[in-house]
Amino acid sequence: MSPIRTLAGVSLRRMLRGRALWVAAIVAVMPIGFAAVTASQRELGVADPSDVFGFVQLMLAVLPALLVASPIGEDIEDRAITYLWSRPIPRWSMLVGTLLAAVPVVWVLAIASWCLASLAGGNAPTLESCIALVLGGLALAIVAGAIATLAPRFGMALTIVYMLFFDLPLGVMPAAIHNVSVTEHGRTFADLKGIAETTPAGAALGIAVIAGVWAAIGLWRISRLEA
Amino acid sequence: MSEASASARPPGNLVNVDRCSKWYGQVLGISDVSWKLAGGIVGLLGPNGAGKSTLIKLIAGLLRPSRGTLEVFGATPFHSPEVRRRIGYAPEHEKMWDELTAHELVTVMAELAGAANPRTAAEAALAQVGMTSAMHRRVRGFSKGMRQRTKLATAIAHDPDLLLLDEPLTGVDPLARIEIVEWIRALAAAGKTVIVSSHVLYEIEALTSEIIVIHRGQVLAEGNVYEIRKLIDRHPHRIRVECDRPRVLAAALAEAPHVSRIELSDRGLLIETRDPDRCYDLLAEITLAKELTIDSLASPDNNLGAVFEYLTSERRA
Amino acid sequence: MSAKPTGTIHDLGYRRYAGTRRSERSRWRVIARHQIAIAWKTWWRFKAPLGMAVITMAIAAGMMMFASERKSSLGRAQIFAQRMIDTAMPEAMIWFCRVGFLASLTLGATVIASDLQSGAFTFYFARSTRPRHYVIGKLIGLIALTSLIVVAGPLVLTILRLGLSDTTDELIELLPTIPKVLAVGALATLAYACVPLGFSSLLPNRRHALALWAAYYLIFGAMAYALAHVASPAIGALDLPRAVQAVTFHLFELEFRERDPEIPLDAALGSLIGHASLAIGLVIFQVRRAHHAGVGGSS
Repeated sequence: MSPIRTLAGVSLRRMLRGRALWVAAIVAVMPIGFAAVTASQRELGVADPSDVFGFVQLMLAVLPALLVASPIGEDIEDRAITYLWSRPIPRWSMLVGTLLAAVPVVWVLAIASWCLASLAGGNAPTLESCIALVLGGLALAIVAGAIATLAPRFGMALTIVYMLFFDLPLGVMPAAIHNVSVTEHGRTFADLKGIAETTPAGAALGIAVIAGVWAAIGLWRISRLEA
Repeated sequence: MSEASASARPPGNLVNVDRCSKWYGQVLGISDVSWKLAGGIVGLLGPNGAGKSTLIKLIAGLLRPSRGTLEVFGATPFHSPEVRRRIGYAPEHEKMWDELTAHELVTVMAELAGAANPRTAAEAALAQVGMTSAMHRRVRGFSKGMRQRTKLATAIAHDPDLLLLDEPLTGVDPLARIEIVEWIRALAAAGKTVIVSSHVLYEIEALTSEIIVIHRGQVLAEGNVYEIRKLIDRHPHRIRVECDRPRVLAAALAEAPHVSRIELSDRGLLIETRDPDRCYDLLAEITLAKELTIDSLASPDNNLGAVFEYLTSERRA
Repeated sequence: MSAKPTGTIHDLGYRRYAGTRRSERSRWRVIARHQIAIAWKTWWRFKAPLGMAVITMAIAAGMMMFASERKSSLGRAQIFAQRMIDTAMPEAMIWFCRVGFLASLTLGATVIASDLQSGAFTFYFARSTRPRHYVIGKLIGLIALTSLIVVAGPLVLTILRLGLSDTTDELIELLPTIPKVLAVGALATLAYACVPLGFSSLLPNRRHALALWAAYYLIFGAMAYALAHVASPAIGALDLPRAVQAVTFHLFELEFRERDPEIPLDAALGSLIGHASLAIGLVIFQVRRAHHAGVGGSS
């Protein structure tokens, strides 16, 4: 079995046996509650889907940090990687294996949260919005993984800081700089009040470029990391 | 030594360290170390912070040398997966994936190391270290000794040619210590090369007489502990003799040019000599000639502890 | 016949310590000092957020100075400049709160979980340390650190505002802003020191505790604030930075922006004090529970 699949299996097993999934589930439930309460308070009984989508995107600030940055940072910091890197496996397989396990979980939680929140808010989730969450979830998971390789001890906190102080604020700026924001591209792709004047394909390309840059950083860093 | 292991081993040295240095920022790990290892069990000795773990990690391919070269099986371990396939490493620290059972952990490690049948290999390895009964329990609930055994199992599950054991007896109870020492000896007898690092001298003494002494990042001595002892001229060998007529013995020994000092006591004498082999021969001659009765004969410093003390005491000054 | 074996115990000079001992009440000071020392050690823990607080203060101060130079203009420019001087500190408060959140990610949100995970509780409670010493020490340490961000910066800006007064009468009139900013800072300190500490006591894994705190602060808080637009504005007080901002605006008698819900003062105060009280209660409960569970010996 390839090392990536093996490591993905281990990551998933550890995730299922730990408490991270419980915390992630609590986080995923929040937008549903919000949508239901908002809908009940509005005259039309419908929550604004762009608001709900915004909160689901905010959730993507925490989920990749918890499910990707945390285990990678912990393994590097606690030196559990000495077991891995004394084996004949490529170093990047640790990063890819963790992503392979965590990203589907992020997708499931994000899409489930969005769909249930949309329905609770009196809206129907669109295919584009779900695909936007898939692309955004993958990109932000890659960002989280790369940040964890750069600063293992504070990887999780820095991932949240990146989202809060970089991705989200730059995404709402009425200037070209909003193109560095995954959340903004996600909103554009989902056609939910994105300010970028670009097509869904352009938004997808923007997400791919950002993810690619961070993937390169993470792979470079992990290839040079010493246990 | 098994034929398979012997034939698999390339001619020459398994480990070839050539003027290797490693810095961690401003902190020196090892400095200008040159060393060759052909096989057998080697004890890597040194006080805490000497550089033992650094050297082991360099051999395991976890670190890259800052300067110099280090080759294992003819290649650089950091860049060569094939080399790492033949290495089994048990680190000093205890951190593991606590959520997994011992069986799962060792199976994963065997799988990652390329073992053909990882489950079977894991079970066999866990049986070797005496963890069969606990192998389906999660590592989280393990004692220190159980973690240590599990670590050792991860190192051997894929049948490596070179074993790197960093402080393998830490936290292990006395009975288990004996078992593990025997187990390591058996592995060496089966053709594996084992490097055992420790700062506990009697652990190494129990395993091997081939040592490499590291202090402050530098190799102070390497080879057979007794041969090294002979080379330590500035500390004459001490031989304690208890006999019925110590004064007679002392008078006879005093004429020998290689005897530097004799200390008399009620029950015997303490001899300091620069040539212990000749001194022992002379003792035998005198005993026969004077018809002495020797009650006991011992060398208090012909051991690893004394060698280590002598080698590192000057460096500490 | 062999001699009878003998044994001797040597007096190596060990004596039970008979000198002066510190008062038991000093334990919390030791813990608080240690907390501050650890935070100060690396750049990422506290120095970086403190640097960001300094930058925030410098930007706000720069804006005040810039506006002060424009006050001599006529008409709307003068009004705008005066408004900028008056509102720079209250508007900057939310940025200080954001920096306070940043600091909480590396400080407060992981403190107790880290101690539980690393086994530090054993060290603390194997000595004559009681749970109350531990809790008070940790709280005081965090309060000291957090106040450097959410009190010191706004205080400096307030003092600067006083310095930009045109007349002595204006200066005297503005003097009450000092106790006001101290009150706001104290409430913000309570919120950003106590609440993350409460979350850190909920879970034994520091990373999970951090994630829960971040989710609560970012997502729950933002949702509460969003709900305030459609339901009662008082719900917005559940968002900690907005609650602090609301208290600031009320105390400094500023008008809320049209797009922002006007969170009532009592709701904001209640939210901040309520959050802090609940968090402290949770910390005390969890620490005593861990203590009685044998992590640190008997009480």
